[in-house]
Amino acid sequence: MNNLSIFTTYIFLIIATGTCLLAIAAGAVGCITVLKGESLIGDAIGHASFPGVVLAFIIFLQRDPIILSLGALVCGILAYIVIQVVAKNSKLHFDAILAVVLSSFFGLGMVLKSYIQGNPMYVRVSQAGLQHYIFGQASYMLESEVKLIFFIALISISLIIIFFKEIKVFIFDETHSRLIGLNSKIIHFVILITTMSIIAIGLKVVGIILISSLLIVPAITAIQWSNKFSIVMIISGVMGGFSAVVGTYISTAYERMSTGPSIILVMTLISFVSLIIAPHGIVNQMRFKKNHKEKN
Amino acid sequence: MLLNMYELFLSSYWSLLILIVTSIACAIIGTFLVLRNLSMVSDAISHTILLGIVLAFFITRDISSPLLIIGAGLFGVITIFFTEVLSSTGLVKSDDSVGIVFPLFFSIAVLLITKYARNTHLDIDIILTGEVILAPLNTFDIFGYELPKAFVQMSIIIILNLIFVAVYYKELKITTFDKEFSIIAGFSPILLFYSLMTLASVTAVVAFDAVGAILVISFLITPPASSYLITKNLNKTIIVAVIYSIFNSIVGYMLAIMYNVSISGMTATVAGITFLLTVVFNKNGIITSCILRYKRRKKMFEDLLIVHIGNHLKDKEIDSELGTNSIYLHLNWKEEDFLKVARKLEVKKDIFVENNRYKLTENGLKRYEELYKTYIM
Repeated sequence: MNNLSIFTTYIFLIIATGTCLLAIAAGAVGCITVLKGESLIGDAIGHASFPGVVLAFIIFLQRDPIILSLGALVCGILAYIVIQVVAKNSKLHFDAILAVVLSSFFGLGMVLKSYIQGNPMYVRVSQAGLQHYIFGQASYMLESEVKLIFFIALISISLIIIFFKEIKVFIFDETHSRLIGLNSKIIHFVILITTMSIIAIGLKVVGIILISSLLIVPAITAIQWSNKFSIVMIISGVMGGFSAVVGTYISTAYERMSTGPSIILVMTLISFVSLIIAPHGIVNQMRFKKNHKEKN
Repeated sequence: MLLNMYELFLSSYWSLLILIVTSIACAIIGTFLVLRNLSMVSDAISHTILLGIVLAFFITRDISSPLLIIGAGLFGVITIFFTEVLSSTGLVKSDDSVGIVFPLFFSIAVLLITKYARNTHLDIDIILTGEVILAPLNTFDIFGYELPKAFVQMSIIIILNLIFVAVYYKELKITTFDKEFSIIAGFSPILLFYSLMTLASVTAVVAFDAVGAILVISFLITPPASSYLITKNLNKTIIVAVIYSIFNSIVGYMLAIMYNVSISGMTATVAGITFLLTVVFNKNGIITSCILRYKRRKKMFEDLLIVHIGNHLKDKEIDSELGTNSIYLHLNWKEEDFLKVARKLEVKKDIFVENNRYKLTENGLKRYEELYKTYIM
């Protein structure tokens, strides 16, 4: 296939639109979690949503991505609540709680998955799709899924724009946000719902394990370029979308390159380059140090 | 059913033994990971060793080669090194650097497998989720005994871990709890840190055979996390963690066989449940703190009432302040709440009613003076 003609094929357009929209929304929302210092929560929630996917399949006996994503969403929220309750009531470090919840939920997912594999009741319903949730399978994306992603991305981005000021205060000075009378519970809830729904719809595209990097990596790249929250968010979204398109192109143009990992690879490379050459990056830091020394 | 289970158990008891050995090895090293707040770092390791396994597999073309263990273990250390370098630049937090490095390595591993190793023995599903029931099938001979390979390997790892902990016990303790002091005392926390992480990643690599890369984290972290909640001494934390992990393995194994589901998954689930039970029921857990909060609340209301009565005993408006019909208005309580508190205090003989006014008894006066001293003076 000619390398340029790929851009106009139907499959490429569908997948690229889907992953691009997802990555833009994830990039924007990811800024919040990264700046709040909770970047690994995304990883934990991603793993913990797995039993929700399988349970939704067991209950409804179908592979409709909307239903499975809803299952993931519910399970992700449950995991989040467990994490918060345990964190409030024990002396354990937050890291350890994340690891425990992540692995226990994922273990439960494995149990449920092996249960339907060995059970004759579910033989008639194809369960081939469930495997995709672990590693992600963007190349089978359907138009309906792209619509779902578009819908969720639109809602999350508009929520962020509506509550932009409140979210900003909440992230950088939670005490102050409470003092000036903001209802931090509502903002927390908004952030939680947007993050969770993006994780839930992203699971099938990039998989449980890699979903967290869609949230973390663009945000970290963006932080190297600007000091302003709104600009960081925009850069992060654009960077996410760009990497998604490039990654999808690579996976379509070359045989046997999975889409999710290709996107992550592109993203991380951009991120490393930014860490070196961006205004806050290593090169500038060294130059600053050198200038400082010469002056003294 | 029971007989069936017994037969199944007899035919697969090696799986249980391998599971137990694996969980013990993980719990010993995991205790230090939990205490040093490295839990999510070890999660990252358990994913990135996949890249090590893949690369080593490309070189050796043999899934059972010991080189695979070394190569993959090395990769765990490389992961740590990368995250440390990245966070030492000060550009990203250590959490974030973990979040960048491990997806990168993992993506490369997945790409390599899907591109070049599709038809080989390297099944990504088995690597990630493991199947302990298959582990005993791979055996080799030692002194004429035919032993499962996973069992022998894991036993060696236990011995290695135990030797490491025993030899460096003092150093581990000091660097874990007081890094500055350890530097002053002349230990190198960095060297110890890297040896610990090497052991952790080698343990994870060997365990992946039996329990899979993702669930290794459950074996490493969950039992020590539960044990940390109920112990206060490093020795005991390790021992209780081992007990937890043995218990989880046995119960998880039994349940898994009963319902014919994934053994490692079930063990991780059981570990999560025992952890939650520990969180709820331990001495400082959710239940005790709820009870304490309730008791303190009750006592506070009683104290408030006594202080109120005491303060207004010589007041001009004593009738309205302490009158049985109006006192609750001055306290700004609901009438039924007030009556509950008042009745309790009357039973305790701290207050009594005289001429439709509340007054303090001698007991109550004593209590009032104590409260006055602690709170008001």
